[in-house]
Amino acid sequence: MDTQRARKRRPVQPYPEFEDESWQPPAGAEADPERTAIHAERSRAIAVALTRITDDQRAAIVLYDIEGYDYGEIAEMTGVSLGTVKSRIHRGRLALRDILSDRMELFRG
Amino acid sequence: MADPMGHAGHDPLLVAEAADRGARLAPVLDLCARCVGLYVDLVAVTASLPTSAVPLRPRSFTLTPDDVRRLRPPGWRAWWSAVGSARDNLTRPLAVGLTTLGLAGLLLTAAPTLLLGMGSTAGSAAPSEVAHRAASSEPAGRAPALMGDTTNREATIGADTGPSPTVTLSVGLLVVGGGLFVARRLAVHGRPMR
Repeated sequence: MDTQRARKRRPVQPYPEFEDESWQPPAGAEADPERTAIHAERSRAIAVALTRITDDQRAAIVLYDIEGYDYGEIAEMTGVSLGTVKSRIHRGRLALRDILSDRMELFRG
Repeated sequence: MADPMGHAGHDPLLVAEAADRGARLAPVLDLCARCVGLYVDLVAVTASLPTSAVPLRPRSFTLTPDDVRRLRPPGWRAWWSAVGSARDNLTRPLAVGLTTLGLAGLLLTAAPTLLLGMGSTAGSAAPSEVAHRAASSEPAGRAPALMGDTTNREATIGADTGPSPTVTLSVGLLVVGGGLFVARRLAVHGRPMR
């Protein structure tokens, strides 16, 4: 009887989850289904919006906001002046915002 | 202070520029609710671009005819790039064949000469020594003629000991075959990994 009581107090296997093969460690916050769905939807919306702006604006925005080049590098790559690069980026962002105006709740959260 | 022009008179590029720099809006625009809304939207769209918009990169590596024309090296470099490559089915058999012919020719011509030469040096004296003996036993009056004979004989001996055309041809084949091997090795070694 004492042995049984001792076993109840101190189980033989201290980590019973290791015995269960279906056990998985808890997922982090980045795996939250709602968050993943919103991110996917946002990516899809931006991808579609990027196809609807002009080629020059898209090139400038992709190089600046996504690839991380600065204004000078983009001006050198595209062969236009610094002011033109800035103008294309600003106009492109305004165009993106107009295209995404009815889905802005995806980006405000 | 109310803006007499209303939102229609505001330049959205100024709002975009302020959103880009993270700066405050100009006082006139700061009072316009629609400009402030535009500012907030632009900041939100800009912030989500780096994480949301992953550029689609083509995964097809098929070369177009234009690519082939552009990438193909011109002139002798086209021939040199073919040497030692997978589509080169000429230089290796050629090198093997020429080297084999050269070696076989050398063996067939040089081996009997070497064997016979070793046998003759053991059993007989050198031809110049024979001529010298003959000259010393002849009378003095015949000496110039004999000297002439000796000169002719030495010239003949000199001609006999020179490389025969077969040996020359074999050595040439060997050199050309070996050169082809070396050229293949150099071409493959100097080629960038693709």
